[in-house]
Amino acid sequence: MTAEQASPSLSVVIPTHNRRELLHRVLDALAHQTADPATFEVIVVPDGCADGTEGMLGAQNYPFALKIVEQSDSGGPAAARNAGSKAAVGRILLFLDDDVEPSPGWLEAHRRSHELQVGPVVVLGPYPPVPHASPELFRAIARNWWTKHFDELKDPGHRFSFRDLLTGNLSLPAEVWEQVSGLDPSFRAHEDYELGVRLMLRGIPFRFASDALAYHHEYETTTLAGAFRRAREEGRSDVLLSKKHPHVQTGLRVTTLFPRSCGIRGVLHHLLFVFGEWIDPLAQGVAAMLPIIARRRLRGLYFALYHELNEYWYLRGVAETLKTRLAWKRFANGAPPPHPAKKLSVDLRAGIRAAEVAMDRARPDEVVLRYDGKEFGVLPCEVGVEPWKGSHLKPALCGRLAQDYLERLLEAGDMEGVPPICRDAVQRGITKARLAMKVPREQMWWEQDGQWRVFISGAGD
Amino acid sequence: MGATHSEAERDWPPVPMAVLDLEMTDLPDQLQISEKCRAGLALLRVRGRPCGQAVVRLDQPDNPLLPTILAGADSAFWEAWLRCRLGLDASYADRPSTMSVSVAVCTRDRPEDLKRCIDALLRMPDDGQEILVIDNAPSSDATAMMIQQMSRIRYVREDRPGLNVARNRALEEARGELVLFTDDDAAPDPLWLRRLARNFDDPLVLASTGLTMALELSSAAQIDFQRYGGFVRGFKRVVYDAAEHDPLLAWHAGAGVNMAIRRSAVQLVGSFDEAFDAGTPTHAGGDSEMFRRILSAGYRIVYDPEALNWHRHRKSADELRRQLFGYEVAGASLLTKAFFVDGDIGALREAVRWLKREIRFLFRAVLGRPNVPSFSVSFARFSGGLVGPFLYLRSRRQVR
Repeated sequence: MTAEQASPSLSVVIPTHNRRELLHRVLDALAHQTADPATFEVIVVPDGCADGTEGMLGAQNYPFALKIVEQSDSGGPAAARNAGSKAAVGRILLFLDDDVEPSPGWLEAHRRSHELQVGPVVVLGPYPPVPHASPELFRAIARNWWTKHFDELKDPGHRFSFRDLLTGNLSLPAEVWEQVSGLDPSFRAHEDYELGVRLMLRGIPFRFASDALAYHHEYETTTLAGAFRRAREEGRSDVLLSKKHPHVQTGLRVTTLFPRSCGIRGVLHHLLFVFGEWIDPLAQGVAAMLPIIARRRLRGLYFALYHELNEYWYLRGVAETLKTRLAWKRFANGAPPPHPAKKLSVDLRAGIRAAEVAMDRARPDEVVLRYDGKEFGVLPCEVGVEPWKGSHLKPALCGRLAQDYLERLLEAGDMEGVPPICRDAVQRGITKARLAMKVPREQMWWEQDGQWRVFISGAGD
Repeated sequence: MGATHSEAERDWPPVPMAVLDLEMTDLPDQLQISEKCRAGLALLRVRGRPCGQAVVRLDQPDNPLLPTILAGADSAFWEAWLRCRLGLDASYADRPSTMSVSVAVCTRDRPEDLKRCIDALLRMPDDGQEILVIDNAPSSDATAMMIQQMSRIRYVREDRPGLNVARNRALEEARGELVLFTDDDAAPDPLWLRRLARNFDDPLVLASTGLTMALELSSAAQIDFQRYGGFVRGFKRVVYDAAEHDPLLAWHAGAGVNMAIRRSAVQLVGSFDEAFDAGTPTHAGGDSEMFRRILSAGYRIVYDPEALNWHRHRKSADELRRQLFGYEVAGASLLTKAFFVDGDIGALREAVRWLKREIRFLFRAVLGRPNVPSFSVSFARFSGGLVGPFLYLRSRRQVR
């Protein structure tokens, strides 16, 4: 046996809490990877398990090296991941959740992503919901959130944000992990976001590896009650996150929710902050009615109550640190506005390629776009998001800036086949499509209906 | 101008209108259209992909064509045009499906229409699909005789009348994992099959639907059907999922003239409800009712506007009125079934919403407001909705 084989180069870390059967399935999938099992080790961190997980682990025989790192006093998943990675020997750390089942090429794909990159990189793998149909409305909501999330990451024009860092299917060099000293165990939720902020600050690039696919058995592990519990943890964590990294506060829900807190809602929030403990049973009662409402297919009511309850528990979490609504107000209003440290101005008349190169070179926080000297749009500065790069340009021009770009092209006489005399009519046509382009609208025929109306009313032209 | 006297009763929109199919990256200098057409409905393609439409005047020959169309194009077209200009990839490939596919045409006593439909189907690339013609309770053997002369077409005779009965027979007879349905009065685009069949990679997708445009706009009734909704569902791909779409409104996804069903849907959500659609008192709605069950059970439907089909709309005002009456009967039947059979209280709310909308339409028709269907059409819709629940109950009794 060579020295290289003796010490695996990849370490898979899986924290687990009372999910023996699911964990068994995940380990089984790891035993059937296309990668040579001698090249990786698996570290399972049972976090206060009371369901015989350790016994199950002892009874199995896996082709890879399996380490078990006990964590007796349920310290939470952040502490468990930290403990697991301390025991790891690989150069690359891979994190999996105990309900995330990797596809056979998963490990290989992560490894390849690191090899392809010069310098350290954070590799995000997709873990969409495992296909499972359920008539329950909550299942549809949960499934939809995950599906949408990974669809966004897949989009070639996507700009990575600290929010994209989730620890369910993630890999990064052990060296980077040590430099940032892992996750912050004082967080009980959003510990992944917090790590994302620090990695972003260090300028470590994120990369999405669509082939590092794993399936999330979320329908077996997430529940309605769990979602509300989590909302509360998130409220608490977001205050903590804002205090630790004030520059991302404007983007967090703890800040964006506040402007809605006025009028009657504001009064209710006062009550929530002061008498929350007495209101909790009422909120629990309403939550208990949700499944009945869903069964009767009262969708509107269900969604309204679900979102209100979610907000309620989130703010209950916020209230644990910020004791009054007044304190919340000061906190939310004190969020520092986004500040673009590096700005760039590009003129697209010189060609898209040249603009892309300039963006790649400068990696600016904000880009002013001109065409033939005249400004027509801005790629804005957003907090906790990677700087703009060349590959973001075209999708932005086809998306949020499509309207302004088209109008500018027309104005500058750079729309082939449109003689100057027809410009006004085309301009009006583009303007008519305006709203449709800015708002992602997907429903049916209202736009086509509008075309007919314009046509009919234009009879007198 | 060229319109006949009876059609000239109303002057605008002009009758007839031209139907245009235009490749915008390679626009002709001159359109080959009849002189009679003072306006047209143009399907806009970019690199062969349908991506938008424009309603254009053609009675001002001095105006160059391109700007005329651009001035009336919709947002989906502009987005596709920009993507093309910037060299971004087109949405999806047009490769043959990895799944086995059957195409089913349910027909009844319309051999001429059927001939056009089959000719269009035979223009599709041969990816090994089978083509089934389900002859539903025919009054003569004209269809059978015609099919006998054609190769590659499998003829199945279903004597129990009803479109949903015929569809269920197609699902039983088909050998493919996917069954694509179209009607005998439609003529699919050559890439229809591939583009409809490509949406099934996700195992949760049980149905997929496409864009259906007017084959001709030669009468006022055809133009009205097109402009007041028709089969238009927009030009953007949509994944329908119960998280974002009410199953009661699943008809938004499309219609039976242009749909594919995964055959395993029969085991997962049940077959087509034979109390619905043509040949029963409910008149229509067999497709929407299936779509509703698909979404309610947690599965998905994909609307893919690149899967293009052309449909010959009803020509006479009478036929149109009857058709729209039938649609509202079907809509009300669907709500009735949801409410009484599945205990769906949301259906009640939807019924109230329907009532408000239709009353508003009726009033505006009475007042002669523009851009509202005529009073007779609005009244046909309204009465269809009112008698719908009773017709559904009758239909149910008949099926049992």
